[in-house]
Amino acid sequence: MTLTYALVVAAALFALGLGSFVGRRTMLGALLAFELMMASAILAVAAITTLSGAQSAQGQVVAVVLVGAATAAGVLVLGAYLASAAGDGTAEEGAPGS
Amino acid sequence: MNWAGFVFGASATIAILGAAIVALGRGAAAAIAGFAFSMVGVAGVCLAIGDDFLAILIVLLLSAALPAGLLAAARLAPPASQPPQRSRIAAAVLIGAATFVALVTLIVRTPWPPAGGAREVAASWIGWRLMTDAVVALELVGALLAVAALGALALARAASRSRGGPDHVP
Repeated sequence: MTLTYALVVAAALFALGLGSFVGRRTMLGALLAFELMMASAILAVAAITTLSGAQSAQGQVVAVVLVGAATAAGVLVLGAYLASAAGDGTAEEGAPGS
Repeated sequence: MNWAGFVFGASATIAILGAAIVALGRGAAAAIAGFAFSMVGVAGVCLAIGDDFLAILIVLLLSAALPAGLLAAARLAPPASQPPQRSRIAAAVLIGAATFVALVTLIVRTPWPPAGGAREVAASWIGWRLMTDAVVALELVGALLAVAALGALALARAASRSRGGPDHVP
């Protein structure tokens, strides 16, 4: 296993996330695409720091911070999406059983 | 092929397939399922390169918790289905392909340093780092998550009040 293979996987994830970000028009789709790009960054940081052998733990700390930032962004956009849906009234219309 | 190589190959395939479902799948549920699938693959790649702690974190947060919340949101308020525009899809494919080619060219041409030194990837090492050198970063991440959760609650509450009551909060 080499660093190049791991980085190519990260590049593929980033490219698919960017393409999805451009192609999708809904807030949920854009959020998923953004999270894909964040995951590719996390993977790249983890691969570079682990497979190059230098300061692995420090790189993992950076990756942990990135995971936290990605989750926080997801939670915030989720709240904004639900708020906008509640404002439009689509939350009640789309709710199961309504 | 050794065990780590097999796990890496299978996980990389799962990650890219899941991401392709996010990009090409129709409907919010399919995209969210593809995202969760892709994150399982990313966690597998992390496991194959030796980052166990990171793999567990990705599975718990990005592959389970976040997709569960997104799925609940999509059930409560399904996003409006709009017919895809061909020009937009063509632009997305073009941008994605150009980005991939550019990144792979950069990756292949970069002289990466050879592996050397002791790998500090054990959970005890990470914990020690988080509690000593990186304690500020750890606290900042915790504060960021708390602020994000409070912000999401405030947004939902404001929308509920503008609609006329707490019953409208999804």
